[in-house]
Amino acid sequence: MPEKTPFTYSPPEEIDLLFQSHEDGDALRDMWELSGHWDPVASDERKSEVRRAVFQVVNPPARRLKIVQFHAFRFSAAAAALVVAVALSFLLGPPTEVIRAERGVAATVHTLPDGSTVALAAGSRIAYDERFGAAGTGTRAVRLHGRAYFDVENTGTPFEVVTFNTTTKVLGTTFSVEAWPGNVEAGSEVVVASGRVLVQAENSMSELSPGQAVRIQRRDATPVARPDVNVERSLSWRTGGLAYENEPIGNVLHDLERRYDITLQAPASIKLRRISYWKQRASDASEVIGDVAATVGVRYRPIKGGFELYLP
Amino acid sequence: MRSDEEESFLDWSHGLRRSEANAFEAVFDAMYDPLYRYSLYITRDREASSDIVQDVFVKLWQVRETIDPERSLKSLLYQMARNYSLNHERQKKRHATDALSEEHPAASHDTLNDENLDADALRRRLEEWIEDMPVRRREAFMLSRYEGMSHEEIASLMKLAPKTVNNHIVLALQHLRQKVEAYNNA
Repeated sequence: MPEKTPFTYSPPEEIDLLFQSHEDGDALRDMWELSGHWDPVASDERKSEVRRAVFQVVNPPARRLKIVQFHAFRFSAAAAALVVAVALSFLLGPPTEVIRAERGVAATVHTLPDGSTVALAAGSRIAYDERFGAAGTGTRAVRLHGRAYFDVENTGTPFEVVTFNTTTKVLGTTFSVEAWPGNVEAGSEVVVASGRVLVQAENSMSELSPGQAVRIQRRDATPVARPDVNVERSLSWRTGGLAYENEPIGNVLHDLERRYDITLQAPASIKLRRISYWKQRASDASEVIGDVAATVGVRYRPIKGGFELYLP
Repeated sequence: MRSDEEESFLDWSHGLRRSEANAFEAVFDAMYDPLYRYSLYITRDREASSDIVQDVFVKLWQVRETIDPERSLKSLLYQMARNYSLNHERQKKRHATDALSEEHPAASHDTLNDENLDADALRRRLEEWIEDMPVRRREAFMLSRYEGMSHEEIASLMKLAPKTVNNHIVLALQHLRQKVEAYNNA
């Protein structure tokens, strides 16, 4: 793929050959040249904004190394589930603690410096400033990638959960936030168990009460209330439950991949279908995949390290 | 022999595997504009294209440790941008049938018939005519004409035979020719 200024170079050899061999070659060559008069929009005015977002999501800045032990339960591989904060010494920015929950483990609970607790789902991570909650530092901000349930101590200082496209502000309350920037219909979902929270996105602000849920897709989408969400169910991941409400299969597969640390494959035609599924206590991976396949009427078979869904 | 560009991408692949922010930044700077244009060729939606390229880079960082330096990082990025763009198109289509609320910004049918076809007017016309093409034909044509990709590169990206790419380009040029003739006769 040669780097050329797109609009000035002459046709590559194979295009030239095409013109020579085609009966209307001259007319086609004229059109090729004519089309060079148009510049198909070289740059994006939102580039710097996207750059900021990408580097934020991608790279919660961190300098110090800190290891945080989790009380992983249910899985004997708990030790492997340990979580390490990453020291990315090449990055600038305030020193940040990172807590990571590895794939394939049950939800883990961690206490933040201000006494608030966080339950983290498999494959998720949070990052916060090392002076988090200290007197005189202002807002308590936590950056989230993935899914977490917060039980916030009311210290009088605002508490914020920042995802790639939303900021959720609270004083003292319990709620969960989920945001996987790489997913189908990438979005953030906030579910409130108690208290009130304020969800801020690029062009909107929503106030939620207990039992309410909202989803914000991409960066500037209008928030969509999710009246169909059963709050108790949707928070059941903390105790090994699985709950999907009208969710694209693609997202469900991502979730199960993280939950069981397996690989799941499916063609796009299946990934875009939607499913509602609820299980209080998730069994082993093959059983859940079997349920999912049966619910949407597709087949599945084992592959190396996981399963594949396919159309009958 | 690898080209300088291939050398750079190879270095960046290794850098990404080691989670080097510098490598990531270099890839971002080198590939943002081409990926944005590519997404735009498919979606014709600027907002969506920015979001898509954002998703591509976030995903790239997430999978950085699994990058295979033996395979072209550049092709991988194009492929991701393509998948996300096609997903976006599918979802848009579904929403359109679901809600019948799809926005159809009225095409700018400025009356140019009395004017000479000056440079600006020509550009607007070209844009309109190219937008009129079926999406895959437009994609193949744009990659060839404006990104300078070879038939083979386009074929592997779009999962087509090189012969089919050739046909798409011929049909695209013929489409333009018809538009030009219709315009001249109007």
